[in-house]
Amino acid sequence: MERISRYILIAVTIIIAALFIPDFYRKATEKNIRAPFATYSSVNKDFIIFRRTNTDIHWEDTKGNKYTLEEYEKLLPLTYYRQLLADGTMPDSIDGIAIDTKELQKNRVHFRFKPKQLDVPSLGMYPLFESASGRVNLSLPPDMFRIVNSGIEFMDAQTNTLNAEKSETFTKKMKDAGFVFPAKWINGNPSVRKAYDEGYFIKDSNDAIYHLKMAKGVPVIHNTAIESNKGIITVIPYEVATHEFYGFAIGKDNSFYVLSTDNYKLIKLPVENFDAKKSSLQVFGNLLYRNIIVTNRDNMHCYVTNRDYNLVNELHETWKTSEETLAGKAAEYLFPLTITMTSKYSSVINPIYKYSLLSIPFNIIVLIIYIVLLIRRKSDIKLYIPEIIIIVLTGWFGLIAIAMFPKARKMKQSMIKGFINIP
Amino acid sequence: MDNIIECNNLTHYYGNRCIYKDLNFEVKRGSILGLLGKNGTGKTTTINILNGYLKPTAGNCKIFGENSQRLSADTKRRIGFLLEGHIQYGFMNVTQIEKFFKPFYPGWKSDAYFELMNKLKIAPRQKISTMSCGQRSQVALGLILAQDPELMILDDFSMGLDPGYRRLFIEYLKEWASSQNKTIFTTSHIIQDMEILIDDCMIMDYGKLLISMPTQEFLNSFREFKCTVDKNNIELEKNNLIRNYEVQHGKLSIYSFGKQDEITQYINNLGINHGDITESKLSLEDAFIGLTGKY
Amino acid sequence: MNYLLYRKEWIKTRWALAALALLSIIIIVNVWITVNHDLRFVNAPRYWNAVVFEGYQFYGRWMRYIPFVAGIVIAIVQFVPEQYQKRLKITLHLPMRENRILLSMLSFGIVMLTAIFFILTALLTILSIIYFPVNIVWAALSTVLPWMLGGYAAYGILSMIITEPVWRYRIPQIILLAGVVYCFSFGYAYKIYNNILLTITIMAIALLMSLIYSGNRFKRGEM
Repeated sequence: MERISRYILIAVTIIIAALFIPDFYRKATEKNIRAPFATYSSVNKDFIIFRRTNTDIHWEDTKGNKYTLEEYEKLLPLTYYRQLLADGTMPDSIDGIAIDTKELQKNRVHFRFKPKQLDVPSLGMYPLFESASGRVNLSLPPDMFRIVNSGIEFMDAQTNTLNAEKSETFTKKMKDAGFVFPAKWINGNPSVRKAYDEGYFIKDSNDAIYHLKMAKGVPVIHNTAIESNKGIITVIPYEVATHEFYGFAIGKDNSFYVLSTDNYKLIKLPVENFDAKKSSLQVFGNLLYRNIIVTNRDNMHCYVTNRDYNLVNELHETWKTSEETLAGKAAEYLFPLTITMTSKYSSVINPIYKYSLLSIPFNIIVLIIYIVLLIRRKSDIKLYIPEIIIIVLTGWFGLIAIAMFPKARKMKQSMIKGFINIP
Repeated sequence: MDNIIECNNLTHYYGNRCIYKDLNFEVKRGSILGLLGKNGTGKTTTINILNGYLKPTAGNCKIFGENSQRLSADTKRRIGFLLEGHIQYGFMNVTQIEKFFKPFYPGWKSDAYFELMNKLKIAPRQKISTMSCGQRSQVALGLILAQDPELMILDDFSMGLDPGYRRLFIEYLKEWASSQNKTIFTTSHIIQDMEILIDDCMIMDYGKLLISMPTQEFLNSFREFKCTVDKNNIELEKNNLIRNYEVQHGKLSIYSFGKQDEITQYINNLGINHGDITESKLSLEDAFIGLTGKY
Repeated sequence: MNYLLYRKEWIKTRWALAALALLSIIIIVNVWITVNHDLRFVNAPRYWNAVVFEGYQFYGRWMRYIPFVAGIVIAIVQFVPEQYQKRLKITLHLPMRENRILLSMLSFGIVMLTAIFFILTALLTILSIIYFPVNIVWAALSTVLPWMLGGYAAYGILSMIITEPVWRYRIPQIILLAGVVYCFSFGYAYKIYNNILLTITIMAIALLMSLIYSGNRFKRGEM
């Protein structure tokens, strides 16, 4: 039993070492490599890229021309109209379209997606806003709903009791619309800080996606009729002033869609290089264009479309990541095992285990040192085979663990006979 | 007569330092054996090996035929320990501690324990940690007598005790051991106490067992031979005859198992000028110092 | 015969256990008063939304530390008296196999720790059920669970450290304890341990028997 206990302690020590030591090293050596940020100019129909290092910031187009802040803003009147109006340099029209400030304001879109949004643990309670109250601002409803096997339940927050009548009404209406309980996922935008509310998109047990909201206290439920073969893994509601879409949707095959308000039509965005688990995506919209930026660890892609989501221009950039610097590469030789518990790709703890085969030469060096020490202590090497295997696999992490939790020592018989007795 | 304790080729090193090598001894049933030796000669080492809290580098100790490092539960029941300093659970009081140990030992003698406890002037709920050294030793003694084991291993039973408690300890132990043929293995710094208690003695000195014999036999055969000499820088070879010697203030003292005439002839042969040789019997303490020296 | 040892363990630990139980009650009462107070000042829907969407942990900042404190305190009051003057020698000489003795002491500590956690969990559940729907209660409990598992892990490792006979080994072992506690004590959001609950449960259970390692080293007289 002592042996089992010892090996458990050694294993846990190696895990802790793999958790902390590479992380300390990374914090000490990581370079801040900033992804470039690109916008699309409606004036010269080119990308303006914002590049920043620790010492210098500037904007440049794809041909390498550099711009100051003022010149940059002048190239982006659809975005910086407030500054240009204040400066008196705002043009009256672009591409033959007259500029109306209110329209510019209304057509602004800034949507961000990060992979960690996909696995935020849900507590299963949601506020269903009154979407047609007649008031300018939304207010929090007095209850929150959850969906259970038998239907939808509204819990009144003040009394912590079930509002049976409301629950039954909504359940019946949803069942009548064909909804099969329970739900597989529920997606909405539960903030009051938005212009209006479009409720929730809910996938039922049969993979049909329904749209639920409440207008004047009455449930409004529609089957979006989005084909299940599209494999929509999530809908991300995003309310815009133009009411032209409900938000965005992501497919199993990493397709990114706009979910339009025109009968829930899915408009596929012409983006590639998007991996919902690893890429962040931003949509910048103005009166004329949509600029969709997909950013990965070592590359970035801009896709500019017109308002009908047809591709107009694109830009691709790559760079070296911190892992590819000298310090980053050295890490692969130094650390046999690296475990990270938290990452920017996940909202929950999802440990990532990385075993580096490149560390094996270093492990062998550590093993040689260990064996030399064993010989000097006149230990019987045969008894240390498990320790040798541990060090071959885990290098100096294993050595630390074995040093912290030593084995019961047995002296070699030959050594005892060789000692001279003290008279 | 069976051997309760048997140690074979006992060897121990602390790091590279050898304490002893190939030590062999046995303790027969009914024997009260005392292990004597200066500090650092391996007394504590031996006791720790015997009570299973030190693994010897080589060799083994058998108690009741079992390896002392791996005693079975039943064998442990037959052995009573006294740890150095009369260590006990300080967080219990005298009642709790008896109640704790009792169920482990089927032959537990509560009367023996409480007889001693009633002599103690303590509050019934007083924690053992708040008692004096002597009171604690009485608790330890009471517990070990109540356990009534076949073998007792005592590590320095007199440590920290004043004469009254020491005498109490010895009297109780001797009475208990002799009336029931029990076996005791003990060490102590205070050799006068050992003299009263032990029947057999073992004297260790830096890696070797010097003697192992009944105390009486030792005291009957080991003598001090004293004479005046004319110079102080006499050097003698230590051998079977001359076990130890000392020259101080013009007096030569020789400690030996031999007879007076042997001694006389030996030093005459060495050409040492000396006065009359007087032979004296020794107390155990003097014999011990004589055998092992003052340093 | 295990329960005979429990009597000694109980004498050593009963005051500390009472203090821990009292502390748990005080913490929960404090949570209850705070939630009650806040619900009077912030309207209930706002409060619920803060819990669900802003990750507001209604049971307070201190809840995270209680299980670790409990594990550490029980390990200290059980094993420091045994380590003092090497009294563990007396315990290990009792007529039972040594590993059984050690496991018996461990099982007592585990039972006591579980009792404290039960008090904490039961009171927290009762309090939460009054104010919150079962979804929120479940989320709270599954967030607190990893901390309790960490309490067991801390107990297991600290009992080993206290019993380790050689001073210099204790120092890196304490660093290990800190690392393990860190692993079990993430608390910035509800349910963040959901994906690795099984892993950390296995780790906590495995670490509970660490005492066997150092207890046997003590028995051998390692230096």
